[in-house]
Amino acid sequence: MQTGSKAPAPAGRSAPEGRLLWAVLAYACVPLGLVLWANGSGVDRLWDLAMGLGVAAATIVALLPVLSARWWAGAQGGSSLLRLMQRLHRDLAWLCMGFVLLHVLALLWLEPRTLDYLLLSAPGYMLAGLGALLLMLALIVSSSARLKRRWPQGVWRRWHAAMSLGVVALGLWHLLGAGFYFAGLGAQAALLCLLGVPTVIALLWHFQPPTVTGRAPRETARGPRRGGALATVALLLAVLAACVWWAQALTSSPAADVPYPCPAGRCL
Amino acid sequence: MSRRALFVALALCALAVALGALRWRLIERAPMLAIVFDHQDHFAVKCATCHHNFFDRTGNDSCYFCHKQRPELARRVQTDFHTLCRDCHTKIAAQGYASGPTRRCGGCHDWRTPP
Repeated sequence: MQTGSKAPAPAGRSAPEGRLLWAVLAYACVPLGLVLWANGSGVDRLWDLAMGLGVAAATIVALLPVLSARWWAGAQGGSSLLRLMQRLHRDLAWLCMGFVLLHVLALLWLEPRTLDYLLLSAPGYMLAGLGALLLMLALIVSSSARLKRRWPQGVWRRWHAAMSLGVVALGLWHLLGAGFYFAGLGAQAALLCLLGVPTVIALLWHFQPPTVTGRAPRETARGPRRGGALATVALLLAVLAACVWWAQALTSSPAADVPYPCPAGRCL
Repeated sequence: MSRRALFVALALCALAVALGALRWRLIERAPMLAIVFDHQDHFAVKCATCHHNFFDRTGNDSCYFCHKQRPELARRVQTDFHTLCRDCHTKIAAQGYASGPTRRCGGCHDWRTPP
């Protein structure tokens, strides 16, 4: 992933990469489908879809460490396989970031009161979700070829692995704490398997690195996607900030400040 | 560890402690959201499921009095009530019966209706 010739990777997505991408997407959506199917009553489609984006993002995040070029360096297939894994890893990371941002923005749009969950007074499991989002941003920004070259390879890799582990841990805390779909013991065990198994495999591989038989091309600093990485992240943050501002304006309207206890004896 | 790294680590620890303290203050002082709760919809539920104070002699006032006024309870009031209400609704819905809201905040919190 970091070593090899200076030949740039082709810009288009190859057919095997496309198939793998769809396979991972299907895998990430299976748990959500099962949950929606099991919770037939009281379903709120848009709300569930917004939540499902978060679950799918967590599933993909847990898979990303085992879908990186580093772990497939010992497999048969040479540099083409490594290039495939490299591109798949990057595309999935961007997809995951998009899912998380859509999850946040959709929930703010559907229910502006969820803005409270982005503030410091939010419950710990919600701050964990916010922390995971910020860590993911840091991972993506620090993975741009230009920034990556500033650190020694081993140092960058260790930080990247540690931050990835942090994202999975915070995501797990967020999902279990929110308790929307993973309240029961069976559902929690399924979630632990979903996020835990790939993470354990990645950790095992981390301590027993594969023998390198192929080399992936070094990423170029002026690639068509990496060149705009920072601009894209800035744009996404600006959209998020605008949405937060809008939700704040909506919830701080006079009608929103109903004093407690509320009238007509309908409250606790 | 270099002196600069040590300084940054210490500063981050201090910031975390300060933010943690501020967070507890904000949680304790946050206004409690108005909740729509109709007793007629909850006749099938035992009174003591919610009104534990009737039996364990922990007070005679409204839920708000203890759960928002006492700092140790105020810090987890949201989790306590969400667990109590939502988990019950989810459990009943999973059994195939009509149940209360489990998704959007507005299903229980009626902040849009003026008093």
